[in-house]
Amino acid sequence: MARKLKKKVKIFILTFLFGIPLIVFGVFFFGTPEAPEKELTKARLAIANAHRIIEKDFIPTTLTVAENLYDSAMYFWRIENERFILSRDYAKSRTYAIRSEQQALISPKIAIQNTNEFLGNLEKDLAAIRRDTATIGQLVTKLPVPAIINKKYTRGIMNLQEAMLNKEQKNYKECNVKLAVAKSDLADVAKYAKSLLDGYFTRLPMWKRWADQTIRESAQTQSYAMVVDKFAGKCFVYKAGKLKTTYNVEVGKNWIGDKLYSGDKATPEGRYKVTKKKDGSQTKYFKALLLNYPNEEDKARFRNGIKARTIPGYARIGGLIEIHGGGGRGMNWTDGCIAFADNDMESLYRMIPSGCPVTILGSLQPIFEALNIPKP
Amino acid sequence: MKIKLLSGIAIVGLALVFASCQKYPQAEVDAANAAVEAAKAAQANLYVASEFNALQDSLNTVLAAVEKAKSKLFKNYKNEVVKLNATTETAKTVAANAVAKKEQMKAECTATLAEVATLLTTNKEMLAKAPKGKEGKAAMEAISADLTSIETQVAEVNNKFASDDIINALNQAKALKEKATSINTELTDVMSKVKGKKK
Repeated sequence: MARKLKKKVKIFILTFLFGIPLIVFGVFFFGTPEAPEKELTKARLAIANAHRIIEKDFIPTTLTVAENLYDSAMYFWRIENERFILSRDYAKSRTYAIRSEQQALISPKIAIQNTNEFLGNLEKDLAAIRRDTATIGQLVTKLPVPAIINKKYTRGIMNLQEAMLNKEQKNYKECNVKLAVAKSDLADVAKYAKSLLDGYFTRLPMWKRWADQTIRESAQTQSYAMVVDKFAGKCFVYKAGKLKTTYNVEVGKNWIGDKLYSGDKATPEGRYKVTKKKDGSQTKYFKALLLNYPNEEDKARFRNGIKARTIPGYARIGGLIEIHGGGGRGMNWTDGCIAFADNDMESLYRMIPSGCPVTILGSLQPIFEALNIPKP
Repeated sequence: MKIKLLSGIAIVGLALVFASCQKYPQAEVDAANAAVEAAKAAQANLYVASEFNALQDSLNTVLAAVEKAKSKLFKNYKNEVVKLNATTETAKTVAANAVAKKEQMKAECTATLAEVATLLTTNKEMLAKAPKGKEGKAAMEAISADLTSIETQVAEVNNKFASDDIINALNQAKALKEKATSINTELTDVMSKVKGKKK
């Protein structure tokens, strides 16, 4: 009996020592809820992959949301881990992780779409601004622009260069900012140039008429005639109505418009004649052909200007407008004369007789042709 | 005797079970987080963006691994501690790389500004020697205005530099150098024409 009892006690002790811990271990082992590790790993990989694909300037809201959801999932995982092992519930963390992955997975598609759209527009903008800049640069070189406009042009060009540098470095947002500033500055320059030229080019029909008359007279008299196109910076020499040769010329720096008075740095527009051929000590610019400026029309315009007070009362009409050497500088620099490169002046001087008609006009072409831009 | 032996085994077993539950590596987690924050403070996300993204990803991975270990019945952070320490070291390297890259860009910016300053001085000297009078007055005035504009923008670059906006300061300095160089070319051209005429 005592032996039987001893055996029972033994079994009880063994059960207590091994059975209970085994049961407890089993409960803990099988009762512990599964951590949301798989879901979080998936979300993390999706976020990392999105970061690899997406340019830093095009991170969509969805990726930021994905990152926030991931952080939340981690937060709730940590919170649950603080609780008693059997009472942990990872459902919330798991849901956040799944949502995070979903947002991260759609992010590259959205970003690529936004990037392509942005880059497409950027390329279009850059192409347009490069094309406009070429024309604007041509105008700034040609036109008598005030310092403030020149400054805007310089700033515009420098901002454009910065935009290009940022584009190379894939700093697209900064590129866009610089491009916007460049566009605004260059647009102001273009606007100024347009306002200057639009009014000026209304005289085109008259200029064409003058040129036609000059060429016709050259044909009738079988003699030489010259037509100076200020905008193109060209002088066309005709013999017996036929174009014989063309020269590059430079005119007064304030060449837009007619000459009104002495010192306005403008080259007169109208139909003139060579009154005197000068060389040696008679001219400081190699050789020269003196023109009969002011003619009767110039004098009448000057008188009317004084009367209407569009010309200062102290102004003089001026004179001594010549075609002379010393040119070939690539800019309009004279006080109103027409400058040729010395070698061109040499051949012109030999060719042109005294009394030769010289017609000076703004342009022979419409503005868009003169600027080599598409017809509006 | 048998019971005593079995009791001993059971007690040792239980002791081993509890001994295997390691302490949460809070110090290592904090150190890794702080190191990544320090890298961000060093603007690693700007100067070495791809390295920083990889670092952030590593930190996220190791933090998740730590939580995974914590979720288990028998906690063991041995591997995670190694990973956390490695992340801390990587973060230090990334921060150092960012500082180095920034210093390199700063040096480049300073050198570019010095070149701009030299070009400005040269251009001003050339401008003073350029033909006076009506011949080139308008063009020279325009060039002079451009030089003034460059000087103003040099001040802007210095402001950006001082406010630690090194990337934009360098880009602007490069654009200024390009402009100053183009003016120098223009002036050299004018001067050579003048010299040619004097011959």
